[in-house]
Amino acid sequence: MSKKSFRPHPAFRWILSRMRRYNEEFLWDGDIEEEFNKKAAEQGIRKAKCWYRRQVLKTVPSYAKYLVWWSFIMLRHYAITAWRHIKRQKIYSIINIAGLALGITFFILIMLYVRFELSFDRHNPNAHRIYRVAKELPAGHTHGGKTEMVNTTPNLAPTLMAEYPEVESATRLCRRRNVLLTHDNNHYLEEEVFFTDPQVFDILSISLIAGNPRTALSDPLSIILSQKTAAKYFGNENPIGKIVRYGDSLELEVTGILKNMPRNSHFIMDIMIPFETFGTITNLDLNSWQNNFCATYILLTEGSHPDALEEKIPELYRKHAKEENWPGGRRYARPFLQSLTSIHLYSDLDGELGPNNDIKNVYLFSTIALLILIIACINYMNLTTARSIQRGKEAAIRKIIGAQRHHLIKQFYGESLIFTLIALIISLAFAQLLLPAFNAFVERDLSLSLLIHPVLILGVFLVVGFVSLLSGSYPALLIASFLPAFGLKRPGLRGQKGRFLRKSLVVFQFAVSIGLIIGALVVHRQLEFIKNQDVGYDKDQIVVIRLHDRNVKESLEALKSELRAHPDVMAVTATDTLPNNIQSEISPKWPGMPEDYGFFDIYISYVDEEYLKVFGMDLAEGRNFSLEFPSDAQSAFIFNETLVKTLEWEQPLGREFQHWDGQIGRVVGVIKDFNFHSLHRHIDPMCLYYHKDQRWIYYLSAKIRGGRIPETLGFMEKTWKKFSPEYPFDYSFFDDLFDRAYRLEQRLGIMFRVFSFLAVFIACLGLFGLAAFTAEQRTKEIGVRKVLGASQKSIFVLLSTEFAKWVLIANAFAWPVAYMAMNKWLQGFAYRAPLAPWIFALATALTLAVALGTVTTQTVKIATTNPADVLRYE
Amino acid sequence: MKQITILEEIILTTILRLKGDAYGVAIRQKVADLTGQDLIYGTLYNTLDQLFRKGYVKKMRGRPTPERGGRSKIYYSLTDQGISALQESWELHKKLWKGLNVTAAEEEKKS
Repeated sequence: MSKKSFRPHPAFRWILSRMRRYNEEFLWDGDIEEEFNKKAAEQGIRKAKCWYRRQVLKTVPSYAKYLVWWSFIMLRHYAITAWRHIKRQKIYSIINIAGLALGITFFILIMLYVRFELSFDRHNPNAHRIYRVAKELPAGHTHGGKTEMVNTTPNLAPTLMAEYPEVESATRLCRRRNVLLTHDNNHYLEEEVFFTDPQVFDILSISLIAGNPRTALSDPLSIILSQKTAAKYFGNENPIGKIVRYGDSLELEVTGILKNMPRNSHFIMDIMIPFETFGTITNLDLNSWQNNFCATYILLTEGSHPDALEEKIPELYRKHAKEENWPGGRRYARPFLQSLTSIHLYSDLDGELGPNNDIKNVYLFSTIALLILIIACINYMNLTTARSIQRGKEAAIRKIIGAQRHHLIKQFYGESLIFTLIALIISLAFAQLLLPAFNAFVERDLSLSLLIHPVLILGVFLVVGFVSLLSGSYPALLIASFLPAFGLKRPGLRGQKGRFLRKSLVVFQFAVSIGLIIGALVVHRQLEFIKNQDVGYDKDQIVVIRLHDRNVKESLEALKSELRAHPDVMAVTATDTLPNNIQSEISPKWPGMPEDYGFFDIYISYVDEEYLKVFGMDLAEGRNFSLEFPSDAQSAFIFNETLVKTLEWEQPLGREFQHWDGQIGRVVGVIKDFNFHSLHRHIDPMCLYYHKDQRWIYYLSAKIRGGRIPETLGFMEKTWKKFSPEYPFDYSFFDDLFDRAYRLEQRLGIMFRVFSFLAVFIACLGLFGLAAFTAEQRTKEIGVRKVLGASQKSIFVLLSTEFAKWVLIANAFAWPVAYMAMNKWLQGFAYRAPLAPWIFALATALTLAVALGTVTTQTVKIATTNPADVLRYE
Repeated sequence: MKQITILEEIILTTILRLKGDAYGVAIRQKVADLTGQDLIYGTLYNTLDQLFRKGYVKKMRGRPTPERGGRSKIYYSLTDQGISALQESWELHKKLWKGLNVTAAEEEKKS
């Protein structure tokens, strides 16, 4: 048997070496080798190997015990040291923990939000097989400002299900808003009512807690209420079989109770009515390929490919529909499928069933949360390194006593873990405290209990690990590498190479802060700009009443004249929409129009003769609609200037123009351009249409005199009740409605403000720590300077300049990035406040002022010290 | 003086028995010969380490030998403290066993 046969398995060798690391005395691999060789010679190599393995493995438990015992002792020791440090340096510790806690708080909140946003519709077990069929409009066309729309023809769903085997199920779904439901003489104005097929139960993950999903929608006169709605209508009574009146006359029987849909569904149904009933109510032909008014959701069979189906849909239209409705034709270009889970974050179509979010928001939120977290970590790093003045001594002593580098590294990582854990606990409390405000801000209903989810708990621990690793690394590695002699002699001065890193970290912090401040300023200025922009109409002292009641519409003229009778009501107008959001479109058509005349969208609003008066608009030429001209009552147009320009009509007044239903009217006036969309868009061609058909009228707007507004509103409500005893008096002020259109921007503004404040605050915490650090490091230098005749003022300037320099360097990074980002954001507005240089200057000045303010206490302290005190010991 | 455990006693007596030749392999072998216990090296060295900490044994590095892959042996020997600990243990045993006869007790129980 050869002597060289001793070659243990690497795994065992590794175990052996691990054990030896903890105690040099365990040099027993020599013993073990000797005995192994002996055994191999006597009993054969196989037995010897067995013996060897057994020896090693059996030793593991006793070593593990040994290891745990010692690491526990060391851990306790580190914890005690850390705790003593926290207590001894209260301000540092508070700053440190507060910074981390703030960072983690916002991170937790935003993580909750992001997770919620990403969870939309994913609770549906078939989510991957569910698609919505939507369609694209031909190039150059828009509907409601969008180029794609949700609504399809009601024939699509049944045909898809009948003719394509890969479509397992399909349902139509459409919505009516502001519907009055009545039960037992109690009236409820329901914001949304859904009309759908029974197949909806196969597709969306909704279930009935009472009633049979197969039959609940089979009788056209049935209605399904959600638990929430049922409780509102019937309290504790059993709602099944009860009668609910829809509008004026339709009596519907409750046939099912719908389990409340989860809030992370891209739309939430509370009231469901059979789809056929939609036809009865609206007089729309449900078998037409012409009209597009309902969403189509389909469930594909397992394994079938959506792209393949998408390509087949046009063929279906060619088979059934008239040519003008074919995909690629004049009415729309292309049907396409959207997967269910993509709708909430990626879809922004005309006719969305619920308020969708944008994935960009999710990215923006996550980025900013991460930035804040990183700033907080940097803070920790800077403060801890600054404390290395004292810690250097401690580390040196530890090293002399015999601590290895890895011991010190472990100690500092351990400490940052302790800090992070404390910060985590505090931040959980913070998060709970801030949650209501945050919920109101993001318009969600989040709760910390959402955190109780394996992935998120893991996430929280990862963040804690990440933060403590990131924030502990620099101090751990730096301090651990101190040479004992240096640490004792000139503690902290060895930071020469660390100085550059430290400075760049501070520069980074301030760059982020400045960037966020610029963002906040730009958004704020743009919002102010929008508010003060002359949109071409008045916004103040206009009360808008929504008309849901059909009966009121029939007696509209009487209501208008009663309202006008009040001395404080100056003018009243009935319109289809408000002038800040005109959505309906017609195409150009007039008698004698050339055959090959191009096509473009003309926005149209249905108004009356007091429209211009209520909204304070001016005519460029011609006259207003008037009751004195009988021809106006038939139909008449007022164009806006852009429309006249687009049509290239030299003399528009008196020319004939055709409404989409064929009604021909004359152009009686030209109105000065006003912004009938949000200021994101330029002014498009638009016309006002005057006629006596009240079908499209939904708003009643009244210009009132200021001063006695509550009395005037009281009068209006009383008058309203006379005409519509059942419907509520649903009013708002026009300027509020106008502002509400910019809610997204306002939210962005708030977010930037909060985050920039936070970033500046945390960065200043860090700066404060660094100032103290520098102050302590340079006391002797300053002492010498003073002895040589430097004045207090010059020393103050000297020190402040250094900090100012960091902030200024940060600008160099922040400006270009902020400029590009904000410029891009502003591109989204057709009307924008220019990116003035002073915004950048202001952001810089602000940060500089705050930064210098923060360090002043420290600089003043060292500038005023007596040189004798600091130099005495040299 | 603290009492020593039975394992410590075994190892201390073995070291004493082996005189100048007490190193890992020899100790283990001897223990196996005497008591039939096949000590695991981990246990052996843990105990030796404890004894060393308590100051009962001292260590001496021997010469590296080829059959050990060039590693040197570590010879253990008792310190004065170690000897007195053993002495104490012996005294204790004597006290404990005085007037007792386990074999007789067993036979008594059987009958």
